[in-house]
Amino acid sequence: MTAPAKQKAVSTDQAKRALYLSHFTPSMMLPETLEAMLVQREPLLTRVFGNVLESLRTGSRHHTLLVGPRGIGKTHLISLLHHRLSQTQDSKDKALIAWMREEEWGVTSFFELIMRILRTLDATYPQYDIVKRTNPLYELKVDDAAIQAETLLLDVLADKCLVVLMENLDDLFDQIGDQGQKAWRAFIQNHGNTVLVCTTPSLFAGVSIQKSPFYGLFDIEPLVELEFEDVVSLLRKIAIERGDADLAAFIDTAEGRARIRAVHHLAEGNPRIYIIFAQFLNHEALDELVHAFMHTLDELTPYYQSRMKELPAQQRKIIEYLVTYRGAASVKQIASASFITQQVCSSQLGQLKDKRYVRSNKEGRGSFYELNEPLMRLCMDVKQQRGAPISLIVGLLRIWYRLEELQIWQIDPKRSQSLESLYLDHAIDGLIKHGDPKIEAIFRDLRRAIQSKNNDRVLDLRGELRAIGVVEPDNWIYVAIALKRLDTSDHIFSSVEVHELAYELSKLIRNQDLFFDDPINEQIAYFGVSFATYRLSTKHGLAVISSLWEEIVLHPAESEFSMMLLIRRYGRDPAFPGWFKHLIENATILGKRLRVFKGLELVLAALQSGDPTKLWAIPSEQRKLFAKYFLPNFDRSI
Amino acid sequence: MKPNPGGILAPNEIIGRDQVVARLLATLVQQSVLITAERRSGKTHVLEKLKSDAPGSWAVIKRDIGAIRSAAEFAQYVVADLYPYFSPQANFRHWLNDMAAQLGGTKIGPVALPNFSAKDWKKTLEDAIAHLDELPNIEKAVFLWDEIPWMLEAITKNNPQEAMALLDCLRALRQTRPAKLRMVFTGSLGLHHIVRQLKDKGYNNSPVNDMLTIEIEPLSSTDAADLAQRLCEGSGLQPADTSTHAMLAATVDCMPYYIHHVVSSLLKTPNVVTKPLDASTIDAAITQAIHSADNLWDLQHYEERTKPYYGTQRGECLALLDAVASSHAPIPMAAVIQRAKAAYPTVIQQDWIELTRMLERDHYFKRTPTGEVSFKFTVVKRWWIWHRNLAPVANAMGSGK
Repeated sequence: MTAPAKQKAVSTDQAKRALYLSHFTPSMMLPETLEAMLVQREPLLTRVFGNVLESLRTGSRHHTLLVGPRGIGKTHLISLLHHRLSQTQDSKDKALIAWMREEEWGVTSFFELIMRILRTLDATYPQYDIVKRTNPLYELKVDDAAIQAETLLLDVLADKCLVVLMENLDDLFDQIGDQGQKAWRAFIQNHGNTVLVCTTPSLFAGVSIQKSPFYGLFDIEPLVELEFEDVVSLLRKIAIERGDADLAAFIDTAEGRARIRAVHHLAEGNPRIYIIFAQFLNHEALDELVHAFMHTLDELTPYYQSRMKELPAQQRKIIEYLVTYRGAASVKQIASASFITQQVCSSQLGQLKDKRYVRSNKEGRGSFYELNEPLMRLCMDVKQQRGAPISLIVGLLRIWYRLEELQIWQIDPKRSQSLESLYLDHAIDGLIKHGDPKIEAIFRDLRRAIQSKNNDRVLDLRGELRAIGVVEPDNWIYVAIALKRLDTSDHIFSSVEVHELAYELSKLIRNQDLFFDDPINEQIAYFGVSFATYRLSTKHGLAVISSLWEEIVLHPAESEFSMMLLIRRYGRDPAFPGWFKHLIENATILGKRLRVFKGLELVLAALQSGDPTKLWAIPSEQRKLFAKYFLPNFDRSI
Repeated sequence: MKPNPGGILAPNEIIGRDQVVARLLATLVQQSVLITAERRSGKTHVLEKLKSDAPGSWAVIKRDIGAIRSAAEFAQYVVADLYPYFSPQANFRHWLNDMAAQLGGTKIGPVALPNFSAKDWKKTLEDAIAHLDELPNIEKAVFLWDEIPWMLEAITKNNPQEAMALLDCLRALRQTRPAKLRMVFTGSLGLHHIVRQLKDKGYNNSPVNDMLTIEIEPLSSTDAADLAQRLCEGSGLQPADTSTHAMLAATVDCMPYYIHHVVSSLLKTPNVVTKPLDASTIDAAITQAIHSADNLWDLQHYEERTKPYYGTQRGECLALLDAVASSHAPIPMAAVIQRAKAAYPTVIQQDWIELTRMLERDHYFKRTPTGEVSFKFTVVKRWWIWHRNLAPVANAMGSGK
């Protein structure tokens, strides 16, 4: 698939490669593919690889624990590490590598772990004849067999180092218990010939509690979500890997980036979801995509269900709310939705954060909480929806295709499969009712770019707005500037609301080219957005009025000018007197009533009542100016 | 040298322990040793260095015995560890082989061991140690037993009497072989906790009163700065000025585990390697670790353990800790007690003095020669202030920063 407007035939080879990638099982993929797909994590991998090599070359032993939620790329890293290590002469000469694949069910003691390691080594190094040598152990009592197994392992290793690559260490520790952990630790300390590189979805008691045998033993390497540029790089690499040069080129265009940005907000940085998304970029495979995605969720659901069962009831309620809410919510909002007090909610959220179910972001004065694992949301979402279309896939359709494209697709007689039709219906409906998610995603990043004063990124985002058809994108930038300054952190604006704010602002701001250098335009933005917000929602509008007064105090002349423009434009708007009254009341409360606003109050009163005599209290020169520019109908009477 | 927090260091990477190892070796000439230290302070590496620095005429046997669950199993490993020191012609090996032939047994390495569960483990230990007389070239046999409290805890759970008997047996062996036999006990769990549990079950002896207690302290400031420098240089981190390494070491109280940890976390910070390492970057890394919800530096433990350590007096101890933490500088004892008394006015003066002494013993406080009190570890103090949301209070000298 190329630029979505063109539907070109996809070669069989491309489709096959797409399918291969979509099932992304790193431990079974070609090393070249794994290398090609690596983004963001090269420094981490280099570090871990370097530490293992150092362990082989010197007497030191580095143990590493990779921590990150499901789908974040732990298996990819372990697989790639195994591949790179296997290529080195050091590992060939000085190590035996036991790559334990994904799940080690049935290991309930250190003895069984040793046996599993021996079996794994046997598969890779048949020359040691390990399985034959373990046969006599089955004749012994367990305690004796345990000692013999350890001796056998030491014999096999001789003067080499055992490198263990293992996933889901938390499960293993749970299975082998405290005694098994102590025995393993003793083995590591007594013989000094083991190097561990392990993974876990989150830190657990076995490594984080002070009295645990393995406490402090690992160098913890957290895996973080992909940033936007990483995602662009990943998707470009996938496109190249699939042999789709057109798609790779499209990804680098402003429109391509705008679409990926919206996907990024949907996928929250989880690589597994992007891999699935990449598969989706091929019309042909929508139903295959759905099946592949369901397969992924089916594998993950039991894990997330068991995690939910571990939680007390109140915490479960909080998680369930965050699943349905989609996005970051304040403590107040979560408490209200969960029927608990804010204090209790805050405490429960702290515990959930420690357990890595949620993460928090500070925005303005408050903290906002969201789910840490997007795949958890998707699993629970699907379970709750009970047969309805998967929201992620509907979301992807809304992001990647324009309304017209989806409508054309829907009526194409060659594609009228019931599953596709259902998804298309939902996507089209969503676009009509809720607007374009790309705009929302760009706007969110625009606010962040303004927060961090990253002008280059603001300009890039302006380009993306234009590319997806937004007229006068500078108004959006002004809205973002104003919202950031006015600290409306309690409310997340939908794209429809922002569109309305930008539209209102476009009626006020004239000189677009000076948007960062002209304080007049910024003041107009603050006042204009404040009033427009008030019209959307009185509650939110009132919340920002106190912030507005800081601007008035700092820039009285520009504020006066802005107010005049507002009066001129909105003086007769039914909402305006209420907003203006709150502004003046707020000033009175703050003791910041300024002389300049006296004149404006009178102008407004005159405009609202139609009574020009209210202007007589203003000095004559000023009165004439007001009348000439803002009250042309009263000109003659004054 | 690369940072390796928590891992095993190569012998030449164990920095700054020459003095404590020299002291241990000198002590072992006379008596056995009980090593105490906070967790992650490097006890295991001290044992490794002791083993490598010991005189050639000493047989130094190091073993982590934390997973052992019975005295019989313990005896098995003692015998297996002694085995390599005896020549094939020695009586020891004959003794062992005879027993294995009688009782059947198992192999630990090259050693065929009898089935000790069918034999009195105490007799086995005594006989095995008695065979040390066959080793005239061995001046001392030194057993370095790491995690002995875990072993005793496991034995106590199943059979407290056996744990008591084992402790007594080991003491008796030390007494009967005063010239030749030495033991070094250490572990993540304090041995006194196990002894206290046994005392609750009727144990009346003092099993380690013949052993000298030696504490593993943080590194000296010079050694700590040296360690920081080696790690930074090994990782490609260039200092902004000559005091950077010393600053890094001092900010984490010269604890080698923290020094490794800080350098490791700096390497994980994007772009750190591309510019000179300055104080603010280091401080940011340390602050992040102190505030981390993952508790990687074990700081939460300092608050949690006040419950089992101080029982019903926990509240008073927390008040004392808060009072000292809130002061920017070392604070006179009288002022500390005065502040804590505000929350607990009925506690008598002597009790306050006793509690402060306990807090000092348990590594919370240190005292200057003039008797002023401060937190022993700056890192702990920083965490304490942040975690308990304390505000600085002006002390008697008027400094409220």
